[in-house]
Amino acid sequence: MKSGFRQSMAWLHTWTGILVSWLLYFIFVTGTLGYFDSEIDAWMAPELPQNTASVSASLNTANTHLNTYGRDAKEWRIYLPLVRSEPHLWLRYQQKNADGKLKNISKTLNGENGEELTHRKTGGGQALYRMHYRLHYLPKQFAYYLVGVFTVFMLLGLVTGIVVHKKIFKEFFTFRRNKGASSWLDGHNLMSVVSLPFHLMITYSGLIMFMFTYVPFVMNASYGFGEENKQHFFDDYYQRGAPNSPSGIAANQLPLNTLYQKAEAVLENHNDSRRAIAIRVFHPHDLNSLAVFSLEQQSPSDDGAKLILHATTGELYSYIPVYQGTRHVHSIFLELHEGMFATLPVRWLYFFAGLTGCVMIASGMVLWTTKRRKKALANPDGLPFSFKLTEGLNIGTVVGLPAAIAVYFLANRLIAVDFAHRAEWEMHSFFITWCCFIGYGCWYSARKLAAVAWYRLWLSAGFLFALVPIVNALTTHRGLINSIKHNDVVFAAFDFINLVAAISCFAIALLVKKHRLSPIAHKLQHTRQKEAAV
Amino acid sequence: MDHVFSSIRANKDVIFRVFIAVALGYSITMSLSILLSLLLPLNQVDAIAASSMLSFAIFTGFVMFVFSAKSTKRVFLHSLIVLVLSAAFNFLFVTV
Repeated sequence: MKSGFRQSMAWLHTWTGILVSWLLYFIFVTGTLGYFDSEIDAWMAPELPQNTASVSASLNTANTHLNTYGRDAKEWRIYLPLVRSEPHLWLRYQQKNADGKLKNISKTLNGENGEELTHRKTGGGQALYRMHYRLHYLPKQFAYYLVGVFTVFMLLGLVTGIVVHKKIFKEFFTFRRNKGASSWLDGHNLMSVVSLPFHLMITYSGLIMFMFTYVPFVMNASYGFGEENKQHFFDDYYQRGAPNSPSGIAANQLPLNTLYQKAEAVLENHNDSRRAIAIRVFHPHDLNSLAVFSLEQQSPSDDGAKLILHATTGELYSYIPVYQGTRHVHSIFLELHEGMFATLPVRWLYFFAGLTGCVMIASGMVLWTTKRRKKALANPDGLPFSFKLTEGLNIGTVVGLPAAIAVYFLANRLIAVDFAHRAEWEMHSFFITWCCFIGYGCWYSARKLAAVAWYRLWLSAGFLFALVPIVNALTTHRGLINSIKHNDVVFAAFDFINLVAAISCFAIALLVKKHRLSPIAHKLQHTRQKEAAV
Repeated sequence: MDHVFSSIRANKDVIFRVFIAVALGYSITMSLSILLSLLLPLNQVDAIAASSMLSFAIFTGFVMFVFSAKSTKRVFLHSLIVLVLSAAFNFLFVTV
């Protein structure tokens, strides 16, 4: 092994890093966008109006709808349009179909008049966000394991990275401009250290998110193997299912609005300032029916609130303000990861921390090739295959993924609204774009023209992002100018951010031109002039 | 020639360490986490969740240990002893 602890850690950092960087970059980019999943959802379903219904109007609508269609249901779920993740009234219940079997129903309603809201088929922000732990095209379990392995590598990369930098603070304040590999190293350090707590938190909590998938044997040791025992453990740990059983005696239930007011009174009594945002009614219209209210999250440590009322009388059944025991610690990790509690400024902080993660990984990738370019170019047998592949994948992924996201947005507007498989094709267009960029990167890298590929691909990514607001304005009535006129913050911000992304891509392209292309062109011109003179 | 041999030896060493880190590492992590879940003075579900959460830290520490130690053979032996001992304790706790 390499001599010395720090040297061996540096070796481990370099090699674990480059092996997993492409997929980690993918996970970071899609995960970072996930902090604005609901906003992307809204933009990708432009037919949906902004919600105008009040809480009590929504509750009345839900009450009428569920009492009409949900009489046979075992359970009702009502999600109120109060928080950013639920922009519209959403109901879930069961209904008897023609064979008399209960079938799950999920409906998004206009809170004012109870009309069902429909929109074009789209994956929306959820599909983008889901890819960061579930990937795409791969079997679900396999994808979970794969992401888990890569996350462990990320954790190793972080910890070994910390060990490698003995003068972490001095190096943090060092930036050597225009020094090739040294500049990339300094940039890589800057991006890593500036949000190191975020990186450690997001990686470790990501593993914890799927811990019963990645390390199931701890649970198996006490509960035994097999699906049944696993479900048994989950029932115990997550306390799933109804808190009581139905009595079989029919009884009239209080209207949802009344129950909601009673819940608010209980919260006020307990000095709990959180609002109830969702209701689950177990065994509706039964003597034992219960209404379980879940509360909004205001901090990472207040998840798991449960306020339960008897739905027939409105009396208090139980009130638990937060999770108890280890579950509380567990939930803090998950909350920190998902950021459901985050207000808009904190959400932006999350977003930028995620971006520094993307840049950290991308700069690490570039650093790997920059350090090895001289030796690779000096190789008498031409560029080694491994170098060409790495450089091609680096170019295709670092630029290709943002471009693929722009194409994903464009596909949402350009694929015909009534095309049957449009949601799938939005996704296909994403991956086709990524593949094209990788192909272009590898092709140019093999011809020793990596700098040209970087320049041209950043330019194309910029054009694709610039197209998004233009195509949006041409295909919908919710273009940037209209959105600003109607105070439609989400739509205006979405278009605006795409323009910012476009400008950033162009700026990077210009930087590549200045630092990588011009010197080459200059040198070429110089040699040509010399040759002409001779 | 010496150079070639030493690089082959170095590669073999790396492969062996990767094997220790991944295969033995996961087994040891599991074995120690199970032991922890049986020993922690919490109720059962809480102990299981707590040890599962800690397992990733155990694994990370172990991998760093494997790649930083001087002698690969000694790493292998030490790891094997820890695995066998913790597994034996687990077996005792679960069956007895």
